Amino acid sequence: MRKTLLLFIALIWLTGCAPVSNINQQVNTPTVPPLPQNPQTLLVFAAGSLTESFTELGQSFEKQLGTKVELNFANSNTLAEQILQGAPADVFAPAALDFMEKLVEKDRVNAQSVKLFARNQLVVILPKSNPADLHTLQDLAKPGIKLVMGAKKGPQGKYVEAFLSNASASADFGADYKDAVYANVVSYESTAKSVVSKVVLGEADAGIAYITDAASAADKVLTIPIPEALNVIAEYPIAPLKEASNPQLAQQFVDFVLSPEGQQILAKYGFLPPQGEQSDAASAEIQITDALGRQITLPKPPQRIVIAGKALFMLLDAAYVFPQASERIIGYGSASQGSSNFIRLIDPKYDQKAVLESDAGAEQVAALQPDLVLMKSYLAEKLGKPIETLGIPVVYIDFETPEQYMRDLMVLGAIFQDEARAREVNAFYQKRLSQVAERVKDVPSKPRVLMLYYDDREGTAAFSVPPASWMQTRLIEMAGGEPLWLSANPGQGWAKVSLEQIAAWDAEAIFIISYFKNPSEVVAGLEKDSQWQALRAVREEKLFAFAGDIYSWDQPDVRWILGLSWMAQKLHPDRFKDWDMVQQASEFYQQLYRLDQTFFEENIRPKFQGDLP
Amino acid sequence: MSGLIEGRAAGRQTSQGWLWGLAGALVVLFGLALLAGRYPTPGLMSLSQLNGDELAMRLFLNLRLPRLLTAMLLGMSLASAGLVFQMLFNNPLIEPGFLGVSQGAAFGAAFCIVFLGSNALAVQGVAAVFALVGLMLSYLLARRIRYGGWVLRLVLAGIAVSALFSSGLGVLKYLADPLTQLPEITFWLLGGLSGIVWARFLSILPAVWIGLSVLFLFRWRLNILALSDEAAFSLGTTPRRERLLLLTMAVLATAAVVSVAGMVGWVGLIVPHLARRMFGADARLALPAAMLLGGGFSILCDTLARTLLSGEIPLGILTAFFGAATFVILMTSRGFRLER
Repeated sequence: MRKTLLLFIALIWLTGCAPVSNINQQVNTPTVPPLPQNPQTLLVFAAGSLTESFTELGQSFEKQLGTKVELNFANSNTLAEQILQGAPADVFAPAALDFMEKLVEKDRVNAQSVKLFARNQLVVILPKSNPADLHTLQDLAKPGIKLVMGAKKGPQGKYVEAFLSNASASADFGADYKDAVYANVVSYESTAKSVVSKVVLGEADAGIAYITDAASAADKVLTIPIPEALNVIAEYPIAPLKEASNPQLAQQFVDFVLSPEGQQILAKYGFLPPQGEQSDAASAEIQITDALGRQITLPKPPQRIVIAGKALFMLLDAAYVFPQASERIIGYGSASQGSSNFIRLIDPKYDQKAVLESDAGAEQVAALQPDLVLMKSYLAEKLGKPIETLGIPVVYIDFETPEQYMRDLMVLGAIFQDEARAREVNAFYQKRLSQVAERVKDVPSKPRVLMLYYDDREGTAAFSVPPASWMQTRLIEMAGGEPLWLSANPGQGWAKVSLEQIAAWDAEAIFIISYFKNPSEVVAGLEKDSQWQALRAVREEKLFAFAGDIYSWDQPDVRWILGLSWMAQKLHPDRFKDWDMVQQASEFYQQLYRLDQTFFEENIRPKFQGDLP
Repeated sequence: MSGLIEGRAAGRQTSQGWLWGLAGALVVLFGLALLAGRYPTPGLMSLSQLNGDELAMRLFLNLRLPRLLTAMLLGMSLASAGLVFQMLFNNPLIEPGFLGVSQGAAFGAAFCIVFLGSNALAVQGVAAVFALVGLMLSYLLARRIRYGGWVLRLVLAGIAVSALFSSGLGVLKYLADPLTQLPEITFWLLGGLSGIVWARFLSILPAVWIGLSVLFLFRWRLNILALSDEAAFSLGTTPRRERLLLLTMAVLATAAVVSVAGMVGWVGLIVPHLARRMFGADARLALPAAMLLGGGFSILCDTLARTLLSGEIPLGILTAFFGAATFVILMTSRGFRLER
């Protein structure tokens, strides 16, 4: 008898602890400051040698931001004078630092904002027919040939002079080389471009031009390279102007020029990347401060990134706003919520990604041979530290509150070497945030709101409220509502509440969230329930099924901004009459993932759930 | 008569030979387990690969070695503590954590995860403290119970204290963040060695070393202490004091390993049975055998846990599975013994 009792007790005790289902996230900090809106046109003053490259840069920038870019090309000296005399410019990109310094001295440009974005070199060009039969640099000193070059005062003229001085100092050329060459000059051209056209037209026997200009006329001219030892590297600075009509947009353009995408366009036209970056843009060192406040230095931009942990769809959705993500992220844990998977929809390389189990340990992660591992900061002890003992760098990101979104997007921007994109996405979020904040800031009385998570997977319908620190609660506050339940949930996860308590709260509006069942069906069911019909929110037709598409919009996923707009509209319909949520969603996908209207209509719109048109 | 004694002595020598064989097998198993893993491909890594690949070497030295050593200590401590408990309580269903130790450690770990943050060393420290608190409460409560022999009183006290801690654990799980804290608690409750680095191995080494050494040196006294108080006393022991010493040592080692590995069940219950089945009830042989078998068993389970799938399988699940399977075989087989 005693033994049976003991066995029984032992069995009960051994089966004591079972796991519990999970869903969401956490953490808290103050609200985000509003930012001004974008006006339409951006005015860029750029050196003549940048004509082709900046035209293309401007076009891509226009395509990405939808703002018009107007370009003004002339020689750098002229541009600087125009600006000093009050010409309205937003961005200035001359062919030498001197001109930028002039504007810094006159306080038109902030010295800290000046960045070098490209370098250029000189080359000797000859007409295809080579009428003077020139083959070496020494030949330029042959008496009687017709030579053209840039104006002596202009940047190119200065570089030419430096080159000629270098040559004269070398034994191969002789001290009188410089004077002999200058004696042959028949014309000093005002821009680098016209040097090339004179040579192409055969009006000169030779010219000294930039490599980039020679490249643009490659099929019409011959070139004689100038050895590195003699050549002078032209450095191109760029900066937004202090009195730019839209400083933020101006900065975005500068960032775009410096981004890998911008640099690629410049490289196409023969420009060298700025000093400090090697000829290969992929070898620059990266400094990051991550979510735990740690300073991390990556010796080179990571190309094999692994994202580890659970509920990864939120982190992945954020990472994929960077076009580089598809290429550089090589493996992650489950990217779906339930049966929905957004990444599979947008990443053609989805099938090639390595998939980790949600409990993957350091060794399983190491087996993918990553050069960077990203994870949420709560995994630091269990997973982060062992991975770091293997010499694999780890960067923590959280993406749980609006503030963390702004911060962690910048971290990802640094990792993908595309801080411009991070700023662009942040600007989009801030614009929407400030629009909502603007409209709800002076509401006379905030509606008293209840947010309930519906789950019937355990057999009976259960309703839970989120904790105060979660995105869901923050959204209600930002949308101009008053969350009612805060004292009912002291914990850090969803807390179940009874119908009795729901009735006692007497909410003016109730939002129903459901991740595993269509929330509209849930709401339809509740409206038929006689107990629910007695609730004030139901009587006043303020029982809403939370909106979503592939994922519900209430979560700290990138879509929270849509959830905010939608909820603000539901709580204050009179103030948001002109907002079309479908159009808002379409614009969201266009801005974050560059998905066009057709894709949206075919793949996103049919997934709409909750109270959406 | 003398022939019988000689026969027994000869039998013990054969068994000692088997014991050395077991030790040899453990060393081989340890070596193989070091080479097994997910990197670079699932399965065994060759020695040349190990020499040629810097990442493999770091993995080998910084992760696998401390982890396997911890796994070995884990199995040794649980199995030998289990044997000691089962002998001293004359109860084959007892395992080392039952005196409020396991539930105390679990409560401590969850408490730390929810309220003090999930720093690994903090969780480990709080878990160890609560494990010992659990033991103390059980002991004090047992002294207050007014009926039954001291074995029954300790068992009842252990059950009551464990129940208190597990209800506390329930509250903590209710409060925990389901995305971050709850999985961590769950993982801890199922046991696992995935976060082990050298620092954590070294942090438990002293306690485990002391506990296991004392148990090993006192193994011959166990036979006497397992007798009734009167019989043990008449054989020249002070049964209460010595039992308390051995229990404390067993709990010390258990608390230390549980604090880093979480709740790894069944090792402490099954392995002592296996050891006794193979080497007889004499603790002089059964205790070292339990240590070696326990070490081997948990190395095996942990290697499978980190190698089988591309995710980490909680160690407790595997030990429960293999432990229960072994248990069933033991219960139904007609019995096998290596000697006599």
